[in-house]
Parts: sequence; C-alpha cells; structure tokens
Amino acid sequence: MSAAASATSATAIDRILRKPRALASDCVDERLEPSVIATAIATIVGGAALFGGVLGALRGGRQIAYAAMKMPLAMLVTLIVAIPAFHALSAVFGRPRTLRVAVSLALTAAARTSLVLVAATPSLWLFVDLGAETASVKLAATLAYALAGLAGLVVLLAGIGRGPGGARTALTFGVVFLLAGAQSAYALRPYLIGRGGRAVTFLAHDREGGLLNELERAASEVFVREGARSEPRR
Amino acid sequence: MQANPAVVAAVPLPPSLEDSSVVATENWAARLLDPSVDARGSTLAARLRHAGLCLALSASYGGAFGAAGEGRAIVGGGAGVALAWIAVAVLGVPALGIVLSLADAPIAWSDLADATARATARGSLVLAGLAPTLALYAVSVEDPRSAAMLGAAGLALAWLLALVSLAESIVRRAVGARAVAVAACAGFAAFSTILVARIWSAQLFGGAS
Repeated sequence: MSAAASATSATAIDRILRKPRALASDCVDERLEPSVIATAIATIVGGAALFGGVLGALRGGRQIAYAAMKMPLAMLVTLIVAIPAFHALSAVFGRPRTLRVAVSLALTAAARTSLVLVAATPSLWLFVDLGAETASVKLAATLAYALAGLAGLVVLLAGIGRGPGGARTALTFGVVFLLAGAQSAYALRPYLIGRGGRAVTFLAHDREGGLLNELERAASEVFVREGARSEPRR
Repeated sequence: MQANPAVVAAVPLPPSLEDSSVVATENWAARLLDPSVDARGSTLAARLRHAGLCLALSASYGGAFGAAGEGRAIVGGGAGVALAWIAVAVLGVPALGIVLSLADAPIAWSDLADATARATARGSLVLAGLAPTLALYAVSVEDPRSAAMLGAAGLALAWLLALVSLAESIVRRAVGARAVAVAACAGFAAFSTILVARIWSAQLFGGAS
C-alpha cells in the first residue's frame, strides 16, 4: 500500500471513529468518498477476523483460522440480509433512503463496530492467555460485541435521523438486524471451543434447529419448571 | 479556539439530521409507495405494472418461506402470499367502496384504488425487505418451526402496516363522514384479516383455519 493510500485509510478510520454523525449525513447525502467505503470494508474484514482469531485462540490450532474466517463472514452475511430490510422499513415509515445510502450507512456502522472489536481484542487475548474459563471468555466476548454494536448503532441512528417514523424505523430494523445477526452467527458456529473440548470443525454438524428454536426451548423449560413448581400449591 | 455561537446557529443541520420530509431522494421505494408521484401513475397500464411489481415483491417473501423445500414449495409459497393481496383487492375493497358510497362519503373509486395501491405497496415492500432474513432462517435451521414463527411475524407486520395505510387514507378523505368511514374500515379490517389469515394459513402453514 502506498503512503498516500495509507494516509487516506487512516483519515477514513479517524472519521469513522470520531465523527459518526457527520459520516452518517455524508452517507445520506450520497457524498461519501469511495475511499471511505473501501476502508470500511477492509476494516470490517480485518477487525472481525482479528477478534475471531483471538476467540479461536482459546482452543488453538486450526480453530484460530476457522474463527478468523467465520467472524467477518457472519458480519457480511448479516449486512447482506439486513440491508434490504433497512431500505424497505425506512421507506415504509416515511424515512426514504436509497439502496446506495442504506449500503453505505450499514458499511460504515459495521466498520465502527469492527474497530471497537479491534480495541477489545488485546484485553480479550490477555484474558484467554491468562487461562480464563470458556464461560468467562464467552461473557467477555459477548460484552465486547454488545459495546461494539452500540458504537455502530450511533451511525445508523444518525442516518435514520430525527422526526416522524425515525423511532419506528430504528426499532423494527433493530429487531430484524438482531434476528439476522444472531442467526448468521449461529449458523456459522462454533467460534469458541474450550481447551480440550470438542474436535475442531469448520461448522458444527449437530444443528439443533436454529436460534429461535433454542430460545423457545429455553423458555418452555423455564415455564414448565415454574408451572410444575406452582402446581402443588393449588 | 472556540466556535462563535452565532455562526454555529446559522449553519444548517445536515438534511439527514432533520425531518426526512426535506430530503428529496430519488428512490424507487418511495415512488412505489406513492405511485401518484409519477405523472403516468394513473393510467391503467401503470396501475397494472404497479400491482404486478407489488405482487412480485410479496411473492419473494413467499419464496423465502418455501426456500427450505423443493422448487414447488418456493413457487407455492410465492403464489400463496401474492394470492392473499389479490383476494382482498377483489373481494374486500369493492365491498368497502360500496359501503362508503352508500354513506355518501366523499371518496371516489379512483381514490379507493390509489389507497389500495399504496397500502399493497407498503405491505409488499416490507415483505420484500424481510425476505432475505426469512430465507436465512429457512435454509439454516432444521426445525421448520423457527422459520414459520418468523415468517408469521413478518406477514403480520406487513398486513398491519398495509391495513393502517388504507384506513388512514380513507378516514382522512372522508370529511363529514368520518364515523361511517371508521366503522367501514373496522369491518373491512375484520373481514380481510380473517381472509388473509385463512389463505396464508392454508398456503404456507399447511393448515386450514
């Protein structure tokens, strides 16, 4: 990469981190430079791969490469699946955005998310290196992902803007994005395998039926248990 | 160096951060939602083209619903979702128009057709936007109940938005006959909701309600 290109990327990253609202307005006005889009894509892939690699480091070996490949893939699949929903919902709720705007907003938001993941990666690696339990690493990774998601959300909310329909667009798109993100991540699991745990495979073969099914099963277990507990009282 | 507050106040907010009504976006989705923007929107050919596009968008959701199955399931799902819109337009909307005319509500048949087109576009666009997410679930889970749950939620959302759009258009125009318009819309909502639930239940979920 030339010095000029590096400087352009560094400037773009700085803008993504420091000026989310200005960046969102550039996206909406279709004034975003192609260099920012290119940097955003590179950041999504690189940042998520780094984070995934550290998660894979808990098990080590091939799992590092697998998790580093799957984490950006999950993020990109989520974007591909969720962008049409953003386009449709924003139009229906009176906040029309072109597909080009939807794509640039989603990419810059995801790039900001990835940069926060990059910031969380060293701490997570140290945590793994200190011999943390799998469950603790899982919680730490979830926390990092949640914080990163909030950082990306700022760009999207600024892009949706204030005014009638803004809150409804944000809320419904948030639900769709969470469903899409959770399922694409679930379909590409495992990322995190405990030390001496199951054999390393690219994808889990024992598909239990999807995220919603898992939630339904967990909820029914809780409520059935509650029901069984309250029955003798009657 | 501190910014001069007077200068800051004079600088307009970026359009994205203000009310979106000031944002003039060349957006096919916005044109789909309001076909009257297009000068040719009132011709029969334009109306048919608009209806065809809406049905195709809806069918994409039905196709996603059947994505876990064979080609027949995809086609059947697509046809099933589109069929419900056609049934409501053929069976429900004319009845609504007759009731409104009996009450002498100031709503022309062309207004009713426009309102129906906008409502169908709204529902269809939501369905098309949600189709990739539904397809992801349909192809990546083994238990079809997860995809069915999500599919039903998407259909309900799209139907609700379409119904609200139609009712809003009619009640707004029914000056002097608001109470009749509200009552007619309530009856139409009850009838058409049962109708689409019956069609989607039979076509997509394999049941008959």
